[in-house]
Amino acid sequence: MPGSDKKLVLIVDDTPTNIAVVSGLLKDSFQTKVATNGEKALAIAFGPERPDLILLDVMMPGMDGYEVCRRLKDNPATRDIPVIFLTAKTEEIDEEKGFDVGAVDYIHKPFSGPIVLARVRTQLALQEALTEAREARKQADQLLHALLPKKAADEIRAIGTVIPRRYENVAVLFCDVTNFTAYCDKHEPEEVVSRLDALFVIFERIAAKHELEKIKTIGDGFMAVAGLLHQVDDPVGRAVRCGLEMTSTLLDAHLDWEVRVGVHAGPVVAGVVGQERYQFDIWGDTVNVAARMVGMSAPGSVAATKEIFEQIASAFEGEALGELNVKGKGTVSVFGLRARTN
Amino acid sequence: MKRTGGNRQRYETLLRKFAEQQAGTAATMRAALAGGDAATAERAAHSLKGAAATLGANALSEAAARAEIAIRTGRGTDAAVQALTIALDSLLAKLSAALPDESGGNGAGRSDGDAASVAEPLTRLKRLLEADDGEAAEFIVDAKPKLSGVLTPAEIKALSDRVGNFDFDAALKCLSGIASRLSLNLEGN
Repeated sequence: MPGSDKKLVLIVDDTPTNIAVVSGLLKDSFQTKVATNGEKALAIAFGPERPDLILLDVMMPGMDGYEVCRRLKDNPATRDIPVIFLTAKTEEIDEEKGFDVGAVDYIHKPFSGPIVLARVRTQLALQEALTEAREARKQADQLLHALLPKKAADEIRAIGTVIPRRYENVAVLFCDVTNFTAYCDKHEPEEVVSRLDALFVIFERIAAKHELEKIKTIGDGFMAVAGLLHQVDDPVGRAVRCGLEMTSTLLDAHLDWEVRVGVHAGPVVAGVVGQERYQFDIWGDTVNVAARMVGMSAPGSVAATKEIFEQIASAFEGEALGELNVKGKGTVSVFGLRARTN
Repeated sequence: MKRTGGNRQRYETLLRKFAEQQAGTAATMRAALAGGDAATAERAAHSLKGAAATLGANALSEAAARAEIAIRTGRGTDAAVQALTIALDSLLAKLSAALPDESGGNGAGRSDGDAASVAEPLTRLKRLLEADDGEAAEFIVDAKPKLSGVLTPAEIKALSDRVGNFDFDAALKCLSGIASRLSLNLEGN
């Protein structure tokens, strides 16, 4: 009934006397619908007003209660409706069959009114708690997926942690915005955050398009990887193409921002740190070199070491940007990469 | 009576309904058995067992349980059905003697009242029936006095029997016939 927030109980019995007694028993606390056979019961259950609970007789002409219950449990739309058998089939084997087909409870006739009421209430309360728990779980999953890459989130859900692993050939991309700090000092926080947010949303989209996985943002920097949790061919080529698209992102001229990108590739270690505010992160020399490449980058190009450039020279042109002293590697030549024009 | 919430009137209505519905059960069982349809006979015994137990008619319920088992196992069927028939007839006779007669009285046959006065209860009944709402059965009992000056006794009986049997599809058809005779629009707003 419109405006009624009472739970809806469907009573299914082929004997009108039984329906009359049960519906009289429930009417003060619940809204009731009635069906005198299995087919009608299914039509009501699959209809627009889904019952919150079904009290089901077993022996009825046509489809019996066991079959009705089986069909309810087979259908995703009705699977979660608790079914209580209310029947004069009182042998143990009948009751076992009732639970086998998916009932949550089995009450013998003759029944006591207060006991039927109590059991209906218990099952409805349980159902409500289950629905709340499912909803909470869904929200937690959504949060986990927002915080962590999908594979890491799945691992946390399955085993409660992300096992730290070493990955041998990962392309790491760093991207930052020049003049951001100066802009930050001169503008309202809302404006700063909303502009940076808009830019990072574009970066996320570009990264996803090239099948890079975003790791994190650090201040005005954005970090993503190719070939970490998600295996791809040509991780370095992908990272450079992704970086080039990021550097060509159109920015408002008056912002005076420029996007610089550095890429490096090699082994990294990945895992989750922290108990408050999980952070999935990567570490290693590869990450450090990629970060240092950003500082050497020229607007509109992607900086990488000579060693990286040589791996992908068939697809990109390189322009020497200078030399950099890298710990453990000595002096390395840095190139600004652009897409080949021919 | 405790099972019906301690309400005497409700209990009497249920007993009357039970008497009406089960009056033909023994005949149905015998006919089914004679025609080799043991399943129908067993189901009739089972339904009677449940309904009698629900109303507290324990001796009848037990006789029905024995008949149900006899039919299923094919042992002692005749004797068990005979015993059930006796128990049922005896209870029906007692009920018929004990329950006040419902029909008659209050100017039966008069049905020339203002049709508009029943539009509201009949519209509400129609909504309840369309929603398969269990409240319909109680509603018709309460609405009877209002209907009695306008609907014929036969119409009231036909309508309340169908609603009382929870055969809502048949009740809706019956209601539509009544509305058309009275030129009533029961669509509501």
